[in-house]
Amino acid sequence: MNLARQFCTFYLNHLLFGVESQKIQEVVGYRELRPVPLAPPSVSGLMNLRGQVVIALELRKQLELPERPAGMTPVCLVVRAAEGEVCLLADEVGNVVEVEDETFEPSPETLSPRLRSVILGVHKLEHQLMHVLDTDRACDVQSLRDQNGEN
Amino acid sequence: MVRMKIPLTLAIIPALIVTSRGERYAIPQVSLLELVRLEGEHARAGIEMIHGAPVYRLRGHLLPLVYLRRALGEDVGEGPEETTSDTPDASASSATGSRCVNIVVLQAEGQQFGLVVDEVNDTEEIVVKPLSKQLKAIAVYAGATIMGDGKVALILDVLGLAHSSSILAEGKEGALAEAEAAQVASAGQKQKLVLFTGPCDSRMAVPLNMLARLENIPGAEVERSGNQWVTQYRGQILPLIRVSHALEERRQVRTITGVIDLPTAATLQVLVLEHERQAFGLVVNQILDIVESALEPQSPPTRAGVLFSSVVSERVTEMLDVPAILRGGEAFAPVAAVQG
Repeated sequence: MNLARQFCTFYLNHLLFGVESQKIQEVVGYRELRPVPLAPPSVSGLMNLRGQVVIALELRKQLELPERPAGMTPVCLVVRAAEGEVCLLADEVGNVVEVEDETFEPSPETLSPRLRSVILGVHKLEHQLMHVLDTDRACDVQSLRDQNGEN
Repeated sequence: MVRMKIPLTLAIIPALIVTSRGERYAIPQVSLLELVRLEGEHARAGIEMIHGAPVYRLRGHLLPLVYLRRALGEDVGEGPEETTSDTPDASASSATGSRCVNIVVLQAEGQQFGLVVDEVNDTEEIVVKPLSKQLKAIAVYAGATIMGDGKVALILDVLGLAHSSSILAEGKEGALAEAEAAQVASAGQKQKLVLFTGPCDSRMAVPLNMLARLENIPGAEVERSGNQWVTQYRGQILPLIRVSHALEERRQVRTITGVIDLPTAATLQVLVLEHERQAFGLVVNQILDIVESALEPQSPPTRAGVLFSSVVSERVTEMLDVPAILRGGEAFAPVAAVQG
């Protein structure tokens, strides 16, 4: 149980989040997005990633955080999700950190069920808590909306 | 030697590029019929309302209109005026003459409708890229593409657009009526017909394009299946419908018994017809000729199964309504079964 795991970290509304580094394909700068009318609100648009059309999701909306202040340019984390690449928009990227399983604790019951499905738990880092994101859930717009409807 | 493999999944289609709210959309060329641009006075007067539903008179026919902005949920305003370009040019907006309406006439499942867009740009060959699964549920998009300048454009799904604007849901009967009207309209033109005689030497005809083959089938090869005549034909079972039975003969009382009699004639002349991928044989008295004739309904139908009567080769000829005869054949079967 002493396997050290690498997480790529990023910030959203000053909270520290982490995604397993194998899941991250690359981090690219923000580029122009093509808005998609009628799409769910967390879909920011479509981007051209070296000739591929990749969907960009606003993580702040997916995680029910306040909107990003005007003038702040997001960064794009391209993750490999269950069905192809998805670009997740975050405020800024942090370091790659190595954590061990002992520091992990699952999300408390007090977190809303919707968020608990996306945030697996936290790693207790020295100064801060790192929220561990389930990338497949974070890339899934439909089921998040369905769960929202149930609650 | 350098070898390159190009994935076959890349589909390149010709598409019309249009603009709505400054964003480009691609419409597959296959659904495109024509483009109409209304300028000046026509732009204001050309679009009429049927209880709030906008229509345009295209060569005498009413074309239902769909505003792309509204179909995409981007237009909260009302009325056709919103389709003018958004340029905040005061002089342009005050002069109504500068307003124009671009209508892209599209076809979806036999139903025509006009899509009103801000601008019509150009036709281009585009590479279709699938949409991410997060967007699959949106019916109005068929995919995405990357334009020459590297920007992403969305491909519109004409069928989805028609469904979401309820063009198809409400217009289904209208489409059928239109198809029938087209059939009548085409009746005025020259058409190739198969002429044959029915009972009592009366002349009848069916359109040649429904005919697959002409056959002489020996009477001994006809078998009974339920209360229907069938025959083995090219490894399949071909149902046979007798013209004399299919057409409602008022003078002749049809006796329905449990067992139907087999043909007495040595050979049967059969028209093998195809309707909606279904083949069946029409047993006629005598096959006469194939003629080209201008078909004009000269008298209304006298009985069920007949579209109209017309004069072909100097004889009064009944044009058979093949779909109705097929329906009649199906309807006839269970009745006989109950009585038998």
